[in-house]
Amino acid sequence: MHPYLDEVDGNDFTTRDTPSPAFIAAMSARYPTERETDALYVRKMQRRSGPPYQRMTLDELKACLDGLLGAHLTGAYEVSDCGWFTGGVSKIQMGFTLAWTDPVEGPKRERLVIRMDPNEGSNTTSREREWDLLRAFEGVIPVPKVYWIDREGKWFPEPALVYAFVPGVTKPRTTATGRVSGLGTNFGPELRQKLAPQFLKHLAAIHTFDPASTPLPSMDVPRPGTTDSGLWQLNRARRVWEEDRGEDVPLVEVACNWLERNLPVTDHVGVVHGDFRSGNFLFDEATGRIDAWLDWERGHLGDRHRDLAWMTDLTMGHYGEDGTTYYVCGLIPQHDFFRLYEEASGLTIDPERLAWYRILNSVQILGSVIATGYRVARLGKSHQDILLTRVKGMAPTVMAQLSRLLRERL
Amino acid sequence: MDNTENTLRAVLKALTDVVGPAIEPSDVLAREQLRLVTDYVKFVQQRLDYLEARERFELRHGLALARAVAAIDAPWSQPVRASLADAVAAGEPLVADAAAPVAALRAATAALGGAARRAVRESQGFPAGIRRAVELAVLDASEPRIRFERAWYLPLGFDPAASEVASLETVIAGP
Repeated sequence: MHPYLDEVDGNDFTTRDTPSPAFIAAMSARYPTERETDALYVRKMQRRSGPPYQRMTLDELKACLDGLLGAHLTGAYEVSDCGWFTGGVSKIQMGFTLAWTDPVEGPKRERLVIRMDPNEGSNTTSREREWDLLRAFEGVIPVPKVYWIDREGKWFPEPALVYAFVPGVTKPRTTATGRVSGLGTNFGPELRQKLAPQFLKHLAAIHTFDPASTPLPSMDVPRPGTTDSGLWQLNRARRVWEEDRGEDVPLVEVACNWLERNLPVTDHVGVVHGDFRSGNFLFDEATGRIDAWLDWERGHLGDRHRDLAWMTDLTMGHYGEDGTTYYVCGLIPQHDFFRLYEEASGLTIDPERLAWYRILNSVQILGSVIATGYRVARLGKSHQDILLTRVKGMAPTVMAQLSRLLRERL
Repeated sequence: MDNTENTLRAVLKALTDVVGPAIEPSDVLAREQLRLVTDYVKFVQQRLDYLEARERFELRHGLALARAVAAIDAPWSQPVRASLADAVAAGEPLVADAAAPVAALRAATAALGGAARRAVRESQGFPAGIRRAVELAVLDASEPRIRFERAWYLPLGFDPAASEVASLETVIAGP
């Protein structure tokens, strides 16, 4: 039992606006997790009392880009056609065209993307980890080629990544479906047929990827045959809840108790994408070819059931034209999904672990939409404060699901 | 007479008629923000008349949950037992006090939530049967809150089973 600390255990959540060193240390001690995650959260809390996010102009961001390019390119280069991207909830993104001389490929003119953190966003994630994973999966599944990283915010105000722009869409241009970030997109029968096999093939490639085959320095490796993986992810979710929320939700406390008592043992430690779903891949609408998997920022080494529970969550898919068939991520009938996954990956599915990760994912989502969204908007920390407050509207659906899942297991 | 709703209409008109057309077509981020802002102002218009009722609902919900937890025969520590009892005692008179300021309602609700949180966390160390009773009490008491929140946020369009959602007028009278 940890010693009582009023700033953590009391009722006044305004103290989270200006957390003390004791509070920050208590979070690390109570909820140990991966080293990279711990460092990110400590940094977040140490900088929380700083100024709110101020919108940068395209020229200001381009000036930061010039700093990064000047440090990495030896020859002349030209940046043009700068423009904002929408669609990203958590990151600030600017597209630009770069004319430069690649030391390997020679003179190039290429469309690229800067992906930068706001002061604080809907999730606190690592650009370094995204860098590691994008490099690891180049040539394995379609991912944007990654060029440069600003790990510590040396040239940009916050850590940032530069990667290739991949043309394509996240949902059919004609559909009216797809909520925030493409959740629940209906691709229609024809595209579904083309996209579903690729979706499964890419998922299997990620989950069967050998993490020892490439350097992944930003990730700690949980021990197979232990509860490391589940515990780290649970502590991560609890820490977000503790650091960010502005109100109590006793249902979440019950869920955390249950998760702690029932930590699952991981049989196979592999790469977990962290946000593998519709809305996070780009495809060519004419051919139905998936050309890039995006948003690797929640990636980690751990248990595949985290991804499987995430993508089969009811908020991620929709019911089909017959009104009875539920399509996982709008692509694969639910009754076929797990069999097809096992065939594609050669990995088994454990229903108990799946249930554990479903409950964990519910806690994680509630942490984002109730806790983080509130805190970030309260302090004006991101470029999407208004969107982060709006997604609290998802909370009751997730709470209903969480309550149902817990009731089945208590 | 309060004119806030009327003012929100004016806000929407200004945003739509004046601010929107002034945004550079190339500034997609600004256009997206404007759409989100106008959408949320419309949501506030629909909820304006219920804001105080919401505070009172949350207080009643917090009281019901804390009472249900406190009623369980469990080996509570003295601080947790006192925290539950104090929070309930502070919240009860406010329910019937029509003049209670919103800040007082919120403070009482926060105290009830904090007391319940500490109780649930402590229950993790209780014998399985008692702990289960505590956790089921929380789940049971959370149901009216979930029904209420679904009705409250329905206009935002996130609920996948919108046709199942009760009317706000019905659920706000509970728990």
